[in-house]
Amino acid sequence: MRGKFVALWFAVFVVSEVPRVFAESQISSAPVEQAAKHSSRSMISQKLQLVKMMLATSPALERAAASNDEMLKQKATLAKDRFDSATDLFDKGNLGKAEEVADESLHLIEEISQMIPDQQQVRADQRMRYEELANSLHNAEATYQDLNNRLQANGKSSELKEVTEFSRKQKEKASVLAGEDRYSDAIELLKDAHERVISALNKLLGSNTLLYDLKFKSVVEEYEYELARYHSFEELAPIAYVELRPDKDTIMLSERYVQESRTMRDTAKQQAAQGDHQAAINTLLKAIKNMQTALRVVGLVLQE
Amino acid sequence: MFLYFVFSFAVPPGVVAADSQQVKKNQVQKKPSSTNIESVASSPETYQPPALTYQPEEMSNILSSSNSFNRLLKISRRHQPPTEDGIHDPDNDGTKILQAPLEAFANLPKTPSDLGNGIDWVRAVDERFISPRWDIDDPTEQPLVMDMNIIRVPKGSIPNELFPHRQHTMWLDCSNCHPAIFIPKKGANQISMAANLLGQKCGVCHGKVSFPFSECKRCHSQPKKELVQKGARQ
Amino acid sequence: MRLSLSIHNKLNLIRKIKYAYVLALAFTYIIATPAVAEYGDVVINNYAEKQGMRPVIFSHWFHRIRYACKVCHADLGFKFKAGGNDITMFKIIDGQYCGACHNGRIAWSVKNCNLCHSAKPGTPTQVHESTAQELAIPFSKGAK
Repeated sequence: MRGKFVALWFAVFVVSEVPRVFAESQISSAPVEQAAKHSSRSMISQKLQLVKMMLATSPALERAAASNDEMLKQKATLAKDRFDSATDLFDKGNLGKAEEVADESLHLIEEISQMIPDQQQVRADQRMRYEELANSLHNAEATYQDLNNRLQANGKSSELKEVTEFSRKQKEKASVLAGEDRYSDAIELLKDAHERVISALNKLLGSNTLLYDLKFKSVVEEYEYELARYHSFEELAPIAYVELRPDKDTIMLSERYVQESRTMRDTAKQQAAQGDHQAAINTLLKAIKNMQTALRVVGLVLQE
Repeated sequence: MFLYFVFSFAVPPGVVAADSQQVKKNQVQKKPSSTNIESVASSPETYQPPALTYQPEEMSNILSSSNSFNRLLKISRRHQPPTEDGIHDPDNDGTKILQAPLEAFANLPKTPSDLGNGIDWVRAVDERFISPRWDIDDPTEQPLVMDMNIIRVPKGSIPNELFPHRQHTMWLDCSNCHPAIFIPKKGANQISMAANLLGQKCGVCHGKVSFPFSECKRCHSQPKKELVQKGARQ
Repeated sequence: MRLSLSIHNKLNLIRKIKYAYVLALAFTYIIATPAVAEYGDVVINNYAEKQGMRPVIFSHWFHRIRYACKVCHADLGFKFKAGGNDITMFKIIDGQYCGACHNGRIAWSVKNCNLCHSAKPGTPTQVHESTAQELAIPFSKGAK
């Protein structure tokens, strides 16, 4: 009796889930083009609005109008015509055809944009990429040199010289090209140099692993470290309030802890100024604990 | 019958495997392999996570995610197709055409814990399940992988954290992290779990797109040689 | 199961009803849980809703299978912030941001509005199921 009753509920549960599961397994990947065919009226009207916006204010069309290319101008005119006829069809109620024609107009605008890209934007992008790459190369070289000093006292210094020399030459050539606005070529040169440095770095590292440990050579160093650590927690408080969205009272409570910890930090600074770094460190540790409580109050539970 | 139903909840808990830190030897100009200074506690090569396959036709995907039990007793229904995933609009005609994640994930290697996407993306690339394109202009360009492991020693008793550059440089460019998120210098970055959980530092990607922080051992995989007390001094 | 007036059977029935009630309660936890979108889905709602379109959903997993992070986040200039890139339809049709691929040649073109604009109306800009979001609102359908 009991078993049948349970079995009945179980069957109800199963039956309610089975259709959902089968529905999931039958999601087919229909071709993407089919999406356009069955759009609703509001969708099509929005598409027409988009095309209208594009025709009115697109920078690509402005560039096309300003250029000397006849074909581009013809395309732009054609796009406008298509849009007009799409609007007509839409008003008359022929939704399917209206959408097709609107799509054609969009396609033409896309083509125009691709044929006459914004040179300024392209140059700006390339310039940014060049600067990023130069920065990366600089960092990679610095790391390589630093590790070379640490891991190899004397050996492989010839490799270091070679690589540094190669990189320097590439950087020079690249900056010349950059001055001439030939950023894409400059980027290629920097990429080569970058690859060289990274390969050398990989070879140098071999099977070594770098250990970033917490050994301090003096109390002062440890104090500085703790101060930086305190600051890293302090920075998180406003971020936590934005991300975790606690209510006003919770924020007030959290702010109290933050204020307390700031007072402790000031005390620690004074202690350090007077030369008592060990006490300053202890005070900072308390301050950090307070900050962690402030964060815990708004919902960020930490394990440290 | 009821007992069967109850026991289907008792899913074997996900076993956490440390990510493989070994570099494949087929990378040109890259260093042959990377082993750590200290011998690692768990050796990734001997442990092979079971090849999980998702089977949407059965009910197992509802009940078998190893995150089934949380304290609210709700079962997370994950990897749902777009029409049912809670943020896509099911009334939208486009939503029905979008690919369901499980379809794409069927042939990809999974992580044992099913956290995040549940896909072992690094293994997927290493073992050629996928070959994501590296450069927007050049389809044949390969990533410039830098193999440099860094062990960070946190305060307290949590094991040391190993940061492997290889797994990151096979996806990212140097400029993505340096210097905007991490200053490329020892001792220059204060990274706390609080920052990570709030979407800073490692949390810029992890916890949003890359695997989340729920598995401590995935990063904190190095045993501590010494306990770092409050006043750690040489 | 016969309905009978005997006390023994009444008690039995009450016990069964209690049992069924508990079971039903347990089932509601299973059936009524909100489903979650795939991890890494980014909802972008800077301008879409104001213009009467559904917010946009970008799926990281789909793109990760095909491209390394560098392609979008270094080569195309996408910042690591949901809603932090000022993406407009003008820029897309101009070939920037999404438009670098979604131009009809590499991926679908902009005429397929509802393949991108597919979020439920009212969904705010977010990285769905991100850690910070989970901390803020415990396991719900997403921020409102």
